[in-house]
Amino acid sequence: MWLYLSSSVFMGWSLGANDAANVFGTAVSAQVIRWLKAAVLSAVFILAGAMLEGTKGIQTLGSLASQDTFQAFITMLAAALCVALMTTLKLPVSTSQAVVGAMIGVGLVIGEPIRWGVLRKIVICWLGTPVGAAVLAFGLYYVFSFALGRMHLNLFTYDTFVRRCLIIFGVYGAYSLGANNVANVTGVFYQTGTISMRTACLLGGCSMALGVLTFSKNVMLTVGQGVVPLEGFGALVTVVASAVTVHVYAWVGVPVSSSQAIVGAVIGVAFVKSVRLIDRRMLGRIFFGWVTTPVLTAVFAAGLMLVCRAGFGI
Amino acid sequence: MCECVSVCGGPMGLFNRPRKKNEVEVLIEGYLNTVTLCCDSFHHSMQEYFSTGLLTDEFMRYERQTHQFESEGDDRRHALEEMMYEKGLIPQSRGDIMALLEAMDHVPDQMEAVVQTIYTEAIQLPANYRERFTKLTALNVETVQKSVALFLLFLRGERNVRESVRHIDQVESQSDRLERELVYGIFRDPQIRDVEKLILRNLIVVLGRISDEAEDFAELVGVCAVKRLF
Repeated sequence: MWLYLSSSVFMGWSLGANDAANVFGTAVSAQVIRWLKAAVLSAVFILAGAMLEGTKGIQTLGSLASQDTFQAFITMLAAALCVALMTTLKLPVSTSQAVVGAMIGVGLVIGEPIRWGVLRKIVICWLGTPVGAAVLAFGLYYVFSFALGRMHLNLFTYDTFVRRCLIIFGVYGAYSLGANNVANVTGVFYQTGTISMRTACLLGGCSMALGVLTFSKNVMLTVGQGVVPLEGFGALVTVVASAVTVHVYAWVGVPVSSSQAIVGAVIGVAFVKSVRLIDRRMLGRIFFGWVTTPVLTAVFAAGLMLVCRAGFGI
Repeated sequence: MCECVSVCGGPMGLFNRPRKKNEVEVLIEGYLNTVTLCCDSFHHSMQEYFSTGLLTDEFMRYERQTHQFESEGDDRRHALEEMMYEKGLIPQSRGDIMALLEAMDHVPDQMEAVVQTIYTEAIQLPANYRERFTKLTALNVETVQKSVALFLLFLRGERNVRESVRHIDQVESQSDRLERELVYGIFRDPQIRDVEKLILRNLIVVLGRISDEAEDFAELVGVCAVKRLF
């Protein structure tokens, strides 16, 4: 069983290592908080989010298709390998889309029916993630700027306010990430009955936390600057909007991409300033990621499943 | 002599509770106090020079003080730059403050350059030009004082930054006009020798550059303030 679950742990580790940059990358790269503190806070709150609010997403993902433990292993292995490959090739990738794509690929090979209603709900949420984050960031920018404008803060108070908020909402973002994305890590194994809901939340949360603690430093320091290329206030609005968006989808029970949420939020802030600031190439890359990630992982998982069937007669 | 400057004017903070000052804030206040002291010494040295037309002991004392405050300002600015990285201000605030400090630092440099030019070149000022030179100095000193006040307005997040920027620009324009009038008059004055005309023109240019630097600083504050408008 643990051999099978290792693919989930690998996926969780990779997810934690990469996606923590979405919540604390700005604060760490701006030297608002040291990486170690950010990593520990992220790890603790990702685990808390997974344990306290991760169940809904796990149930949704588990209801997409029925698989046995080996099929779940192939699903997670294919998804994890695709994510690793696309990350290496610097292509935009979402773990949520990779897992769903892999589930469909394996499902098609084994002839297990896909619950299209569940898939439709998931796809709508994927589309809604960047759009929702953009709308929320657009609105929050005006609300926050109205409130801050009335406060007449001096530069140092303003600076302290932004720094504290980046940490507070980074913590909230980590919680949301854990609550939403734990389903990507262990949701597939939960529906096989291999592990209980509590174990799924704990194992998923711990493996993500492990990824943050062991491998997120470079990602936070380098990717963090690129994810939110905005000044302090804009960066804060982006972090808040993406954290809220991801959390909302945790309540809805659909795992979504925190990277797509943050990119959507950046676009929302860019809309406030000037539509011309929006990088059309970035939009193209997101669209490319939406299409290629599930398709590529579905094809890869189906191929892997076919190879296993042919080779081992499974 | 000078009024001590304070960023927070209280200090009061969020929701009007007394606020503990940040170390960077304290250093900036110290730096601005030094600029103000440098400006006072410069002004006194020039007043002394214009009243007598000679390099008196009193002038030399103020000349040394101007140099001392300029050096002290440099030291404080370097300490501030190091501190800003240690204290983890957000990049936007750090970038703005660094750029403003660098721009502001040209002002005491220029004041020092004026008194050193007078001293090293032992400039003899014709008596009939003293009044206009005094006025030119006063205008340039005014731009420095307004620049220090503007820096504080910006740090306090006050709304009337633009008005102050405009005011500095107006005073700088007055200074420019007076500079041109002075050069025009000096070069048409048959009682002044050609070499003295060139020396006096150089003094006018160096003196007028104080308000030019102050204006550059004010424009930069204006840009930084616009970036912070919500």
